[in-house]
Amino acid sequence: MSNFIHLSEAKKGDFVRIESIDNEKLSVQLLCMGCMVGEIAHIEQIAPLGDPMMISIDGSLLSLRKSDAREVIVSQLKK
Amino acid sequence: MGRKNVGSNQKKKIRLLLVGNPNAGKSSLFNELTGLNQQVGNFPGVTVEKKSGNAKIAEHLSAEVIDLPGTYSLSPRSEDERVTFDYLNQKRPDNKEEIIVVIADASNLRRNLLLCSQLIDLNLPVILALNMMDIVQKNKQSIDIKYLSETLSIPVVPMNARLGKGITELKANITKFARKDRPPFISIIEGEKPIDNAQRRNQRIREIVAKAVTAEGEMKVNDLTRKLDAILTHKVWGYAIFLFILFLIFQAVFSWSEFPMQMIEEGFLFFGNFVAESLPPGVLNDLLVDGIIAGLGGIIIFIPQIAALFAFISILEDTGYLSRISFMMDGLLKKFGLNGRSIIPLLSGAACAVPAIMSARTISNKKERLLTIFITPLISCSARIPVYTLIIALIIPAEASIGIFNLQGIVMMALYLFGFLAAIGTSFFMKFFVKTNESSHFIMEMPIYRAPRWKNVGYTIVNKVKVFLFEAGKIIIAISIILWILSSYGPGDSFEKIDEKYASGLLEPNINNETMEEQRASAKLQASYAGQLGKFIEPAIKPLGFDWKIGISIITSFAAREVFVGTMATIYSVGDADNTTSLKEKMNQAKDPVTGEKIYTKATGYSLLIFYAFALQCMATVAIVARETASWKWPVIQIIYMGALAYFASLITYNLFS
Repeated sequence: MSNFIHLSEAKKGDFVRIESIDNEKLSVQLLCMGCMVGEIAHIEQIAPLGDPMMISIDGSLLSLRKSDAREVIVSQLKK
Repeated sequence: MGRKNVGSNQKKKIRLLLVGNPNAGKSSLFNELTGLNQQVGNFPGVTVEKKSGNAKIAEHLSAEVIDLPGTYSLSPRSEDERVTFDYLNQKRPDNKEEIIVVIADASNLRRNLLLCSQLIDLNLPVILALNMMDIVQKNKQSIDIKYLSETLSIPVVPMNARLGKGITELKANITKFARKDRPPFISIIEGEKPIDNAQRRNQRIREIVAKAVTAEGEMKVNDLTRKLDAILTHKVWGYAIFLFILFLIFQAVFSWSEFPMQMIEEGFLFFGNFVAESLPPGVLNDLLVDGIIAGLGGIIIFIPQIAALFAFISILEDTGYLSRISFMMDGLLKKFGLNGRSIIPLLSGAACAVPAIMSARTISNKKERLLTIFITPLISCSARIPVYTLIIALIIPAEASIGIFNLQGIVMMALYLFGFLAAIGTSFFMKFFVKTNESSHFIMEMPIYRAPRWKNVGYTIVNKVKVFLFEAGKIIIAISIILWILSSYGPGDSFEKIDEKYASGLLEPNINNETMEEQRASAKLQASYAGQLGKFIEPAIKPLGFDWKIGISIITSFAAREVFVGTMATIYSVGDADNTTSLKEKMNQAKDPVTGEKIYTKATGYSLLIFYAFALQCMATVAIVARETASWKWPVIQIIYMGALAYFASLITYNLFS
């Protein structure tokens, strides 16, 4: 598992594990919405205009802008 | 401290505070508890909506219910969340007994328990309402309510607020509620970083959820939602469906509202005439008919459009589709400092800015909402159409064309386009100047798709109409009375002189009564304060190609833009304002008294069109912006900005064409 990428680079349909979140404010906010380090996220949709992206974690759907997704480091999992 | 007097004959009133994550079903519960017995206002000093109401809990127990804005945690990141946070931390002077009802989405217990756990640690009196139990059952899961209640040391009530299930049990729990000492949810560590605290909290929640929820396998997004999203956010179908829905909204706000609006207009005209005839003539009669009744009519006329727009918006919001619109449009609109949801106010602004600005409330980010409110009046609304039609017909012959396109149509389209470009251009520059202390992260929960709750839709419509009538309405009435005074009174004895002149029959002897009345009205308007003001501002508007008659119309247009046509009709003494052909004729023949040149040249006409496209001449808009931004600062900036924009754009236009 060495292929760490930014969440913003993940493709539709990917499963990723959240490894770290660089921005502390962002990480508290994501955590409050159910998205924390160690969770598995599924990339559900990428908006037709390329931004934002829709991910699902633990049964809930979140939409986040690429500028925020860039601060989330994830590792790709096998599908 | 138990409640001793329950069961005695004494009546008791407590306060219930509803808190919960967004989309957890808080408004459903609120509506179930209070019914139509609710008020909508703002929390003091902020633009966050405050809903409160009364509920009967038991025989001798009633409650004031406060619906606090949805929040994910007690570390506030938006204005809405800050309001909830502050409200929970405040001591209220009346010392009423308070109980907090936390509504949690049971199908997403892990995330929803975070807020509840923070409330427990603040040692507040909490009841946990586990909503959406139907989804839990559908997922073939079950929740051990007893275990949850014992572990958290609080009452836990399973419910389905949509169907009104569990309300009786909730009320029973409120009635027998007794405060007791509880162990903290997690131990307190001095000086702990918020992120570490949240992580510890989450760890504990995981442990509890693992025990409380049986068959908690992998939580999955509901299949229907996934299938619908594949279509509704599709790069072709998604936009096609969105366009179709926009078309429906447009139809509703534009044409379906037209009939009730006409009824209201005619009703008020009839009522005004009735009052005018049944009361003795005089100042009071005029004030009542031309000031107050006309003003009231000018407010009530908006109700059909507000109702139509909010019927759609609440359905879109309730079903979860509004979040998808935001998802699809955000990539484009964020470049202009706006939000995906800004698309609704911007497009409905083409019908009327008033409901459009009210609909900006669905934008949770304060800065994006403010920018949206600020630029919406630049979109050409339906009140500009009569002005556009009159002037275009005046300066462009119907047969003029560019290639196969009719020139009148091109100009009309260009005006709409200019308005739209000015709106997004303004937003693009303003985004650098509007400061916000809100977090700049945009993470939005996408609710799953659900059928709309018609009851909620109804409540939303009623509440929005009430807010407009009672909060914007009083400002509109005040302004229309001022406008009435300006146009019905003149300095000194100028009005008496006009009456004398007409009474003594000094004018042409063989003129009929009707024409004389029209001329008298015209003379009075010219002598009034509004007329004086028109003459006073003439030097300022001369460079735009406007004379003082247009000046008067610009001033009276502040009541509403379409008043321009009526005022022009009075000035040029045309009996019926709807009779635009004869008004057109008269305006066409109007000549400058000094130079003898035509007043309504191409240059003046284009300049006037541009002026009406950009200037903020609408007291209802001003009133609603003041209400929605909770200050007079923004409407004043808006009037000045749009006024300056209109002035300079008209100045350039006039010079280009003359």
